[in-house]
Amino acid sequence: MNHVSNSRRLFLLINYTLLTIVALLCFLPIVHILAVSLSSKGAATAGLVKLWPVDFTWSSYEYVLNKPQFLISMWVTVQRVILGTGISMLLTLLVAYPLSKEPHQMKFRTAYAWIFVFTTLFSGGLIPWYMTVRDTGLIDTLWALVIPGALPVFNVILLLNFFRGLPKEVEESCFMDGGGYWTSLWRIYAPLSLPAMATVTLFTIVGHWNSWFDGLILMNSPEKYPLSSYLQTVIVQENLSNMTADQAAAMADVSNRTFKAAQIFIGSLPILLVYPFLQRYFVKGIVLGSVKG
Amino acid sequence: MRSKKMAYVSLVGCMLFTMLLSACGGGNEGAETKSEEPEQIIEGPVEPMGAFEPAISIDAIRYVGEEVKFPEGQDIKNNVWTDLYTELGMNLNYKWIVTGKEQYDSKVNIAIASNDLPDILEVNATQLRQLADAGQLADLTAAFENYASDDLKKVMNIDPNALPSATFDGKLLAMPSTQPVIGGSAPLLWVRADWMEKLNLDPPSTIEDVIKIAEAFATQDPDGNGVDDTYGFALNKDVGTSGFSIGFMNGYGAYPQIWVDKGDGELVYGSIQPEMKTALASLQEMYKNKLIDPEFGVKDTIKVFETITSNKIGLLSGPSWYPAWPFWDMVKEDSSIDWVSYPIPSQEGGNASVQMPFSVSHYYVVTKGFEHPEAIIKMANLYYEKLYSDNAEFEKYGTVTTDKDSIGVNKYSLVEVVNPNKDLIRQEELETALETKSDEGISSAETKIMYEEFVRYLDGSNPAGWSGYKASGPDGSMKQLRILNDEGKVISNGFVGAPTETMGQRKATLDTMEQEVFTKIIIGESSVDAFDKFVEDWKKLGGDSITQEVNEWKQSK
Amino acid sequence: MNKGLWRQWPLHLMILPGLIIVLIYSYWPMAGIVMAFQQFVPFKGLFGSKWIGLDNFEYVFALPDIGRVIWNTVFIAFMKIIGGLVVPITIALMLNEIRNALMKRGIQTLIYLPHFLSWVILGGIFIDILSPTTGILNQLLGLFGIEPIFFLGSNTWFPYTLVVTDIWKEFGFSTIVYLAALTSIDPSLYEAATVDGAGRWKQTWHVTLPGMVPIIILLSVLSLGNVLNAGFDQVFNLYSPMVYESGDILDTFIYRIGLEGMQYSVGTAIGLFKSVVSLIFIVVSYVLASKLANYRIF
Repeated sequence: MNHVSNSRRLFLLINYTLLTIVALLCFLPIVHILAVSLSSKGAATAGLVKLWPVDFTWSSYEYVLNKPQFLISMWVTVQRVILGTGISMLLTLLVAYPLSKEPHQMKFRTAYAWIFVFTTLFSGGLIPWYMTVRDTGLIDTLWALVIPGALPVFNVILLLNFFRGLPKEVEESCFMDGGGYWTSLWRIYAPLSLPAMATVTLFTIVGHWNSWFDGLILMNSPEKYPLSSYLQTVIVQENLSNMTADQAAAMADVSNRTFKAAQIFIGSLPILLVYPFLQRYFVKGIVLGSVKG
Repeated sequence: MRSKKMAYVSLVGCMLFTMLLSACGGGNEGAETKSEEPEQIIEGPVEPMGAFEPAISIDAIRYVGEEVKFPEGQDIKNNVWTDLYTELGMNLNYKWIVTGKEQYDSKVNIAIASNDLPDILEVNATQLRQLADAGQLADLTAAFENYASDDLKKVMNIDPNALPSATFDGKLLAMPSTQPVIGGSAPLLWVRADWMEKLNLDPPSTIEDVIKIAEAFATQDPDGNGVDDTYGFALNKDVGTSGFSIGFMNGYGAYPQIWVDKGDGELVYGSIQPEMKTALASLQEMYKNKLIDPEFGVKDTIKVFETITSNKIGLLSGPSWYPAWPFWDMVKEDSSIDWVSYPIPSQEGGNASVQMPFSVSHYYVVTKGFEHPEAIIKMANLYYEKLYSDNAEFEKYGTVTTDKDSIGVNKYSLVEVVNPNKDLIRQEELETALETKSDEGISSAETKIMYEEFVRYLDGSNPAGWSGYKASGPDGSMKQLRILNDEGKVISNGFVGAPTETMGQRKATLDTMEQEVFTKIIIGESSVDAFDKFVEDWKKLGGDSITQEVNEWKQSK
Repeated sequence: MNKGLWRQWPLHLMILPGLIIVLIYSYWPMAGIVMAFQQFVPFKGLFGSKWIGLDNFEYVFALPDIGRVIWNTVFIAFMKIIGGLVVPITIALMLNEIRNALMKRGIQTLIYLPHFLSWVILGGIFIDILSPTTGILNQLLGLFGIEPIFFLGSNTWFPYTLVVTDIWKEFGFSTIVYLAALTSIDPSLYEAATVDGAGRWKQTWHVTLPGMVPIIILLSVLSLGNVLNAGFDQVFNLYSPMVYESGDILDTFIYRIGLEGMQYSVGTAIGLFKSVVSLIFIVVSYVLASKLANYRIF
């Protein structure tokens, strides 16, 4: 066991090196954005900033933190993520569990499954969807960002596949003890598939965090935009043709790269911390370990 | 077994579908019934700025630019302009507000498609046509006639195409938002004066001279850093649609993307004229000689600005406001940098005619059924009255100056109508005022403020006045445009209004082809003769019918 | 039988809330698909607009550039699908070999960072990084004597640039799914393999990979639904007229057509076309997976 062969050592060396390079490649753009956000405007627009700040300054962070809209939007996003992930996870569990049963255990199971899968392929387009959200009275409320997309079908499929991988015996013993489907779902399936649940939760959180289009379309005033919708309005360049000198001067202000970089950076900071937190649920062998115990 | 289940699924699907069909059918009946146009009853004398008694409530939507700021205690729903509207009995009620024009356009499209319109809204030409065709708009003919102030009527008639572009079957269906497009878009040649001086170059008098300056800037290390890192002439990826290339092409008498009168009253498409071939050949030559950034094809305007501010480019064509951005960013940091503008020279020498877009790019409309269409006219009256008339209160409604900064509060007005020649008039008045050292001849408060800034700039106490002075000073870019305009050398698109039918179907494809062919010619991937093939294809793929439609449109006017 | 159904009712009850959500917010709006067969005019509504049969489809498929656009779309999407499967699986297996928990977690976290940067942001960054004159990548290649490559401006390179940058942005995220799958492999299988004298490679080959097969099949089938989704946001932020020839895809093409007017019907028709193609791919692969591998995906 203690003996590690040379070829194994070589493999590990290559493996570590490659993964480190890959990780760095993924990390550098964020470092670049951070560096730009801490540089002076002149250095940033002249393209002098690579991975280290030039003419170090906090001014862009002062600007952002003094901007009420940024903080308001951050709060909207936090609310949205908490409410949305809670509802989504509940619905996902409730749909994935029955669908993980065999057709003889649940009538119409395959039909149900196709009904859900079908929605990922076909859509009526933006306008009818908007009208539906409007007619169900959700426009301009937090619910509009939460309810219409409350069932991410991809996550359902992922989770039902994990459920299916769990040994049947465990559930049967639960039934023997007089438990029903509900007990089995809460007491057996949910706790036994923690890594899968963590994955799906992460996807749901990230989905809510990143989606910006619904916020712009369904909210009636900028104070209700989630952060990503707000960032979209900051980052996307307005048409620069036909401006007056005053507008141009004002645009010069808002098109400041360092301000944008600072907002992008603070805007992604909270979500970057979510994954490391969820990682502790990715423990190998948790499933059978607990079954055996 | 499985096929049975699939059949079941499709059955469920079908049932759902029929359910939906019947339900939606019912829901849409209401859309067909048309409300009757309320009669225009005018009681007593009409006051353009009179208050509504009793007050009316107006549903509206709007966008706020990301750059718009507010003084302490004001926001977009409560500010000097909304107060003014309230005083006059107009209570604005915003159904929604969005940040940014682009987002606004897509939200309006959704509002139109889902039949969710407020009483008053701003639309673009395509949206206007669509609403007009659907009969959703209130007729503003009588309201404009009766309520528009003399000032407003005058402004509306400066561009003879403005009102006609909003008139359908003899009815005025929208208030055009006229804008000062000469100052906003018409191209000039901008050159780094410090570089010219350093390399002992003369101002250009022909477009050939421009190329010579470009050559000198590219090869003779004008920034003196000992590295061959400068380019001669700026270009971005939007060949033929952005000012960088338009100005240069105008120098050759080529007018990309607009319809020009060939002299016999017939409109032809500028991008397919032989002059364009010459211009492209010249750009190809410049690219080959490394006068143009080899990466121009992927760079947008902002990226090109960055190349400029990092001292890599000192020659470009662009609008009069470039001193405000991006040039001021450089001059502020290093006062040895100086920019100077020239009118675009032509091939034979003398000034070339330059192009600008139509002065109206958006409109204000009132939806059918709203009882007071004159409200929109009154708002337009107010805008002009409070900002540009003899009774203007510019310090209150135009620009508010606090100790921290100055804030353009005029942006809060729902309606914006500007004299298309505003920039020209302003420059003329400023020039006279500087000569006579008195602001007596200045007609607007806005210009008076600017005059004071100029005076302080000239005595050295206001270095930030540089950009304004470069544009509107006695030798500024606006002066050059004013001369050009007086000579009739600023031409506008001969076709204005919503896209014609074939344009709607084909323009995107034709534009794609145009940009692709032009870019490939410039980078030398295609020979200049590819232009002839492009012209042929353009005509065949819908261009001929578009030309016909455009000329029919012209006849019908 | 009745007793069976009675026993099942909690399952049907569980599914109900989710079913209601998709019925309202997915199936109800699907009525809008009829627009594909109409010349949709707002205010006339879905049933007042003129029916024009397949004209919208004919219009699009008769446009001069449609051939190259479809080719680009399929080519780029297909390569992204392949790369999007191979890279995350490889990385997951490589990570699985790392014993140092801190390092493992660190790398996992870092590789998922790019997912949070939108293409609007990355567009500007990539123009800098990939620049043939000042870009860091070309400077690196220069060290090996390679001539500068204009990744974003050359029709030879552009599609591959799209594929590589897309995989770079998303692989860390899909790796997470495979890592989750790895956790559900029974550790006793490894113990048994060790007892049998299987080395690391053999364990990976005979235990780890087979354990991942279900999730690999699942994700492959699902990703096949994307054969016509070459990634609008990415292409839109990276392309230019220089590379229309190799980089213009169905979605960007339709977007430009839509800019001229509000052509809802044309957009819906293309959407429907894409949906039908995806459905065919999904159904075929679903059937194949269950026939050949006896594995039901969903």
